[in-house]
Amino acid sequence: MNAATRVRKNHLALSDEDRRRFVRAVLELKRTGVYDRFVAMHIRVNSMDLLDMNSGRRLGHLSPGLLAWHRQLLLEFENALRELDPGVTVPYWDWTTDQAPDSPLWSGAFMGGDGRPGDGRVMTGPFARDNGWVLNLSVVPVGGSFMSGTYTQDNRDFLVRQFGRRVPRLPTPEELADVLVLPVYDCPPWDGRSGSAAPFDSFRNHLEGWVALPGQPRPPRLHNCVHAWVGGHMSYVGSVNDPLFFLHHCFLDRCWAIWQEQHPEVPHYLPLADGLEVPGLHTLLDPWRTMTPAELLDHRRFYRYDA
Amino acid sequence: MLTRRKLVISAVAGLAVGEGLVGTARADQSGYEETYQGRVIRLTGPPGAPMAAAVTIDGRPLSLMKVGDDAYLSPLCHYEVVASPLVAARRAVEELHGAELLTAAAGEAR
Repeated sequence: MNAATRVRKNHLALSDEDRRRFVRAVLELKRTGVYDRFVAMHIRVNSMDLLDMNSGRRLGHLSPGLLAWHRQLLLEFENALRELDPGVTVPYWDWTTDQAPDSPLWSGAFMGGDGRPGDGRVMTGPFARDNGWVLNLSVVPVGGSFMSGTYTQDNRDFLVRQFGRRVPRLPTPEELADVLVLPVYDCPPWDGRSGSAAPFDSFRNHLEGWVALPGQPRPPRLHNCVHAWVGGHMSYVGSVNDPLFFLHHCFLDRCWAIWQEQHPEVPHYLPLADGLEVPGLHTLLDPWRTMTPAELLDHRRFYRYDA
Repeated sequence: MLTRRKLVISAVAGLAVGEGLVGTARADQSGYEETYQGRVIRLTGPPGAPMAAAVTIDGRPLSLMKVGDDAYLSPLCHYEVVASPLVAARRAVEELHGAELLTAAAGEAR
């Protein structure tokens, strides 16, 4: 991989040509079935993670693995895009500042807009059902967790968004800054309860958004808040069906990189130990089993951010 | 884990503060059933099951995930917890806009 030329940009910095090439590569992955394999993988891992958090393994959600696992997911997705067009990278959406209803994010040439009143069906842009983006409803039962082999959760084959229906607003820059100052990556019990009380020793859980700092609105916060604010599929187990998922998680990935820069002297991933129900620093991450959090820690091995 | 009895009590308690409830509700030893926005929600609490309650909407299972005390996620409410299986079921009905859950087909392979 050539990290020097693999630069992830704020989508606001993309040219029309950049946007067109990103969308074209995504549509091509969808056409060939590769995109839906990412959808199914995310659902499978979510289902395993959430089935029983008290005794079950948690890989990428309610877990310190959140940032490492999604970093590899985005890398694998970006690799697939770049096989089709080596000039493409995943752009990010800074949802703390880029909140205008007329943002280029929602244009018909990029992500498309909010769903229509009523059922929330997306009617504009390349990911509208009427423009050819059809969700995969087939079910291929495979062993293991209860949603293994599904690509979505119900029989709607069209993408749904309902901006602001469940939570009224997106996170502010101040709310993100308050989380970025937390100096400890994560702490026991390594789940959605981590760091809920002083000294709030879980940057990961506050960024994931299961808990709130004093004086902040109640959860969902930050990462979870964005999923809930967009609504529709972004708030469902099948969130990857909305390509906005990748722009959202690209920004989250950048948050981890910024946090590391702000806290150079602390462990950038915890727990260090292997063999817990969550990935340790040197645990190979499923389902790929090619890299550990330790190998994923420094994103500059793989790509750079524009800012 | 909720016992069957506790489940019925919590379901009925949830009923009292429910919003937009339309139709009928009834609870008995085997569970709780209500019609919400035209959809039939049924909650049962089989002892020894891995989850707190089995929930169906029009007979199709809603996979419920208990992630803490009074904290549940479902496939249709996945990044925000709700307080009870009944709230999760009503929320799913609101999100479905008449669509059917897909997990019925997957359920055969459980």
